[in-house]
Amino acid sequence: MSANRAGKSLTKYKIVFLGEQGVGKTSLITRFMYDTFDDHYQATIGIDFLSKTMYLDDKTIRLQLWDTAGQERFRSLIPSYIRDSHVAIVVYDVTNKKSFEYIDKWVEDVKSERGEENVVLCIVGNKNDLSDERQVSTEEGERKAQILNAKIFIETSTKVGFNVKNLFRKIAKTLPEFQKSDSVALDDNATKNKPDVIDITTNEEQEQSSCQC
Amino acid sequence: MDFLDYQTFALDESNAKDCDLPEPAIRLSIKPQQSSKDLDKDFSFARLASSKLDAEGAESLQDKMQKYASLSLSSLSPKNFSNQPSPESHISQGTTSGGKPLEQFIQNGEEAIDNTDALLSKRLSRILDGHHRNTLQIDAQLRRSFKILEDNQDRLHFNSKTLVRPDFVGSLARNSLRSNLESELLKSHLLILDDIQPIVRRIKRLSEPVQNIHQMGDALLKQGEQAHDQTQTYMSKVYSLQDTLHKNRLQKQILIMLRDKLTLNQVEEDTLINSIVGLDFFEVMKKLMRLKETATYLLALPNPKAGIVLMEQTNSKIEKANKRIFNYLVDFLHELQSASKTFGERTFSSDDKPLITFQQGMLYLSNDLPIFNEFIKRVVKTRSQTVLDNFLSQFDINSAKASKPIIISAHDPVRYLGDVLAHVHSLIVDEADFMDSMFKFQNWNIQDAPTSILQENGEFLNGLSISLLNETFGPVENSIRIRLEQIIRFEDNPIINFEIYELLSLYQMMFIKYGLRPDSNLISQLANLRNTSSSKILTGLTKILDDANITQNLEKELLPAEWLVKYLAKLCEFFSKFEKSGHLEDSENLVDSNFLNEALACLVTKRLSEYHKSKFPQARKDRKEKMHLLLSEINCIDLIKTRMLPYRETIFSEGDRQLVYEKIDSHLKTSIKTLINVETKTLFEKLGLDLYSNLFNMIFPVESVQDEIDYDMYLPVLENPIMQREVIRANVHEKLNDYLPILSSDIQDNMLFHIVSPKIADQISSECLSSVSKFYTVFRQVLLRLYPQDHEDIDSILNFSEDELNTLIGLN
Repeated sequence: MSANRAGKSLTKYKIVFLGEQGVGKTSLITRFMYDTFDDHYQATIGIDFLSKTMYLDDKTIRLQLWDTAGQERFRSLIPSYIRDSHVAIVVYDVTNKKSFEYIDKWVEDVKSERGEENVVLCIVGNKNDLSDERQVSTEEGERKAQILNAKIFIETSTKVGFNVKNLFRKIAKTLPEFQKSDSVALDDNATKNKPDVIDITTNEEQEQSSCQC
Repeated sequence: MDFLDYQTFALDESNAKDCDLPEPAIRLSIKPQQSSKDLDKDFSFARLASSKLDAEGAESLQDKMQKYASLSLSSLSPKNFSNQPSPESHISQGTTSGGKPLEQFIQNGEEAIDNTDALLSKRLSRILDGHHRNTLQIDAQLRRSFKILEDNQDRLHFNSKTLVRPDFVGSLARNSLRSNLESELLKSHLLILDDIQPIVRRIKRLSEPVQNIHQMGDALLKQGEQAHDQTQTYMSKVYSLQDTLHKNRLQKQILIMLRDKLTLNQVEEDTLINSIVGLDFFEVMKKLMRLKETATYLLALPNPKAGIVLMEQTNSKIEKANKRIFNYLVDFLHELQSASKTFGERTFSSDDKPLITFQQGMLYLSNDLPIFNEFIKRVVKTRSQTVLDNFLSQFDINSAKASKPIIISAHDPVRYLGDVLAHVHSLIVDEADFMDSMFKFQNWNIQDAPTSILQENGEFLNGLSISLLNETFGPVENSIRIRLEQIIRFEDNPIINFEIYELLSLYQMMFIKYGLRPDSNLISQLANLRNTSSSKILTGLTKILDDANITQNLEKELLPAEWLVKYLAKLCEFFSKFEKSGHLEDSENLVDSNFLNEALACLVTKRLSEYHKSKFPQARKDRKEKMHLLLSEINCIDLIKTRMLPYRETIFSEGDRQLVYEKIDSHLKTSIKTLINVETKTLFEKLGLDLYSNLFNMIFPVESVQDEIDYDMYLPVLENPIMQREVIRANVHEKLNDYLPILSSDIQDNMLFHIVSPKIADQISSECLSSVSKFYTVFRQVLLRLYPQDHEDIDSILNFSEDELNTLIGLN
């Protein structure tokens, strides 16, 4: 009774989304949270916040998603959010070379705030479905991720929903909570039946097949 | 029971044919002499049971009848008759009276066929007519009997073939069947008797009391007549008692219903006092709420005593129950808090039973406002403490957390404030999450809750999570404010103050977005700090001017002062940031006309004036110093105007702000105009034309001369002695010839050398030269008109034509 009344233990993980204006940070979060995509671009003002709870066996974790504004005038706010984040997702647009070049600056900011070891660094190439307009190849992205010592590199398309769940699945696997209990447990059916549970068990191959390119 | 005498169907064994059996025997010999009555008596039809009617598939009774008739008729046909015994002999095959075989009988009967045909036909038709009426019922009964016999064939163990045999075996079989049937019948009779026996016994037992009752009834009837009046009295008493009984029953029913509706039973009372707070407890609470509602109706009765008593009782019970709920909720909260401290943060899924019980408890407790408020205070106190601890932990330099403490960034005010506000932001979203999970009743199924609670408190409960969030941050607000204020108060840099202003504006917006009310303490404090930082922007800017000691450290240079350059650089930096910030469209614009008046207009009208007065104290007396003053002034204002030019379409685009820019521009124009006048005057002096210029301008402004007719206005000047040719020659000729060739270079090199803006220098130069040119032209033309006969003399005094003069001063 006592244990029930005190609820379940909860670990919070702060994930901060970084990148130039218009690369698709908000779309990435919206796709992950609500599985939707809005064609109409609306710039983020300041810093947006969304959270999702994930259950695993007896453990409950909450992902706190901090969506930063890409506009120059909000840049000064961002370091304060990187300061105590566990995961930094640096997003670039595969159809915009400049946004790719700015990755270095973002990663530098992350490293200066969190050091090399205290943060899970992810590099995400978004708008992967626009193959005709591509300016940054996957190999270039991979190479950059390797140079910057990023733990995760992935190309996504928030428009067609390609690799988005996969990205969060990979991130989850790197979190200490999930590493302890082994990623296999993510496929546990019990989690699917609980309310507010995020199913991050999407079959990678299946999701790959939805790629338009 | 009827038994068939199968002996009558017995035939000789040798003549017996199964297909013919059992054919009814004709018992009487039909003779021609016999009457139709006798024929009727002796004639019998073919046996229905043995007929092939069923086998041939006769469907209806009519079909069967038709087939039977045709069978009978066919048996009467001559062909058949050849095989039939004659009417005179024993017709019946089955008869045993004579004991003769059938073949013999047929042989004997052949002679009588012809005679009997007609008679038989007649009789047969009559019999057939009567058959339906008389024998149909017997046949049906017989058929049923056979059917029953056939159905019970297994039970009675008989062989139908053996049974119909005419010999001894058949007879024996039939006898045996008969005895079997009889014994079966007896058995069944015995069984029935056994069944009836207890009933009989009971009847016998009751017969005596019944008889007694009967006798008593008879006796009473006899007495009744005698005691009729007495009975009437008794009966009325009985009826009244019956009425009373009925009423009492109804009263009892009503009282039971009232008891069930208006009181708690023992189990419910016990649940209310002793059971743990849970579903059962809330069921009882729900009933108590209903009782309270009912009690309000009772209060409306003419005698409200019952309502008052019920209300008092219910209220007392609800009060006790509310205290129990309060204790439960407080326990729950403390348990959660201590678990959070010990094991880290806690969470509930939306369908957690303890959470639902907690929320139900809150719902019921909301009816008792004082206790509910007390609980809310506890929640606020507990959560505020948690939030405060979390907030302060970030300033702890020895904190074990992975992130670096905020205090480390204290050297950078904007970063420090950003860190503090970002941390408060994350505390707000965390707390909003917690409050939503615990105190959000919108998603909760409150269909079962009493309507009164929902009607009265629904709106309040739905907004509870937001109010709690706001109240939780009330006590924390002071600590947050102190940490922000200690930086803002001591920051003088207007640019940093503007960044702080922006930061505070942005976080104010974001905090409101995540649930803090615009009128909450924290938001109000942020607004106050924002106002402080905005006012400090202007203060910071003016401080630059104050610190510059503009009236001291004066240099004699005519270029803009260093302090002005620095000030403008700061101001422009601020304006550039302001432009980018997007605050231009804000309703409460930071850079309004007051700000611009203070920062710019006052600079031009007050600060620069003071500065120039200090720098050129003799300007009023000394024309040269005045020229220097004007040059310096033009340079300074021009610098201000030039630096403000990029913001002409943004900051100075409209309204009062536009007027400030125009004010600066007009100041510059005035200074230029003044300088032009002073310079022109100097030029005239150097050319020796100053007296004449004054004289001419006194009559009519030379600048306004349009054409030759206007020259006539100056003809009266002839009366003035200075207009004598010789005087003019003495005053003008030499100076003109000496200075005119160097006039242009003198202006450029000496007078306007210190003007920074080439455009302004050019403007002044060209306007001065134009004035000289214009006046020279007017003066020469007027002299030519004044002395029409002495043109040569005039030409020798003013020895340059207008064109030559213009060429020399560089106007052409």
